[in-house]
Amino acid sequence: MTRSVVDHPAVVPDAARPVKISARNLHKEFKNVGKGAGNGVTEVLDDFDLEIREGEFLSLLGPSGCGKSTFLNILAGLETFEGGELLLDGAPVRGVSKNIGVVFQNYALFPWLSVRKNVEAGLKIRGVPAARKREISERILTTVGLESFADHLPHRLSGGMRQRVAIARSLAYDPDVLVLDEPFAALDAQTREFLQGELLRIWESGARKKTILFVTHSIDEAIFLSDRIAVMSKRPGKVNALIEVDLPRPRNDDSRAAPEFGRIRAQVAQILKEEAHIGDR
Amino acid sequence: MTVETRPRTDERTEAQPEKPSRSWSEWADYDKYVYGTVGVALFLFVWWFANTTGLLDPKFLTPPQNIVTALVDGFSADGKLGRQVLPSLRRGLAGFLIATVLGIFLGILVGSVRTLDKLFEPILNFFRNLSILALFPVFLLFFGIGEESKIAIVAWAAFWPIFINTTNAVKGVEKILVSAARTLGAGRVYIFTRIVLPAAFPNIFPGLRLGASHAFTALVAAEYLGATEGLGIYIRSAQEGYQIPAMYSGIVVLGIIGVTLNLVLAGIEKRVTGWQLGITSR
Repeated sequence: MTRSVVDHPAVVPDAARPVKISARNLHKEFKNVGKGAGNGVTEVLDDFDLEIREGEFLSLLGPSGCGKSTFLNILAGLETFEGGELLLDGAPVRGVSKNIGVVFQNYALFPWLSVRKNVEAGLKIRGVPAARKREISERILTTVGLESFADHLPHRLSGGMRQRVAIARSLAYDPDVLVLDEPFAALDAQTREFLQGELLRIWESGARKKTILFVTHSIDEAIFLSDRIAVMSKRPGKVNALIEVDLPRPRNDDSRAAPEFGRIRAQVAQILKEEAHIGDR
Repeated sequence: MTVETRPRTDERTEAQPEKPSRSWSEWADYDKYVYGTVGVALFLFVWWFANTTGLLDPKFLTPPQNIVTALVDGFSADGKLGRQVLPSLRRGLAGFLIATVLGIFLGILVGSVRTLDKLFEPILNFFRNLSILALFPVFLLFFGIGEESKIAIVAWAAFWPIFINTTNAVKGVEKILVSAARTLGAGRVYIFTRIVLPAAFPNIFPGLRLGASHAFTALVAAEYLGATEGLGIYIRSAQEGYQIPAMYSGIVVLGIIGVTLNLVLAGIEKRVTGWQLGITSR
């Protein structure tokens, strides 16, 4: 169902790499509740197809309310779906997978635990011995540049630092897949750009690149970070277009000024604009 | 409990410059005790003054110095008051402990399972609004006149505020924290004990303090009803024997127990929920 909008010779996204996540005909609906909602249902996702390859950085981009976060929650095992198929490593997704790390928009750090204990939470749950736990948290906190804040409580940190703790927390137990739900949306523009660079640096520093699903409504953010961008339609959401981002890595602030960057931005903006004008159903 | 507390020696960072206000707040703390002491002294003086000028009849309201004498007598080797403290304390604390365990456990259960909440709401509403005095005969019927019925009455009285506060506290726990824990691989038990409980603690504590005060109110009422020992029966028989200073000394001891218990709970609260200082305005 994916509309082909790639107007230059389509680059097959590294077909050699195996498919990590595969969603086919995914269907999700919510029961309407509350005053005046009637007793109908709202279709959130319909006919949602998406394949994400191993080690790929894919952004899911779309207007608010299009169901992009819903897909992320389904993949994270936090929500169920009504139809279609969702595979992780070829096996159906049922409930929470211990192989997926999730980063939420509002950090969702445990306020009563120190930064270190937050980072170690996933390891503790997995019964990792204390010494090893400490070693891992130390290393990851150094990676995200927060080693000197290990004993602080989260509320004493700035928003950007908190989100780095949250990223460290989901990386600590070394999941194959990292999903991020608009993680930088609540931050100021400068911090946001800084953390985008940080995220890429952390991702690229890994021994084996993790598969990343990054949900955002910012076109620039999606282009700067991703290998591919999946643009979603309005609700009920499905993937409308897949766009290859052919910017060389490692990316830096110069990447944002590259002609290719501007070209993709115009292209994505056009798709979103068309989508907005397709009659309100 | 299962909550990690942060070491007291927290190095302050450049992230939040809080230094300047520190000496001020220390002064404010100190202030509190000064004002408190002056207030108590003033209260005692007015009391004493009213007694000596005959404004208040010492037969009905014993002057403070006589109560002190009665206290000293009561706690002396052959005094009767000292022997009443332990039985009462034992009943009160036993009942309060039972109420705490049950209240928090059931509160978490009802607070986190919506079906249970909806199912039991009318019944729970009925019982929580029922006067404890109306239930005394029922408790006597079930548990007899001995220790058990008194402890049961105390537990019942303390249970409701603890249970209701816990239920609401659990309902108020941010869903995203539970989601985050689930994505980290946490199972049900871990989420209950390590996420929901600590997140709810700040709102459970007011229930515990209210429960403690209900516990000792109910205890005295239960002891008035009939007991061989205990502060309640001591106060009542002192009044019946027209030993008014002894009666007041019993009341003062009860008051001191109440204040002490509250201080202990406040101390525990500060330790357990210290992490939220600076997040909220408390």
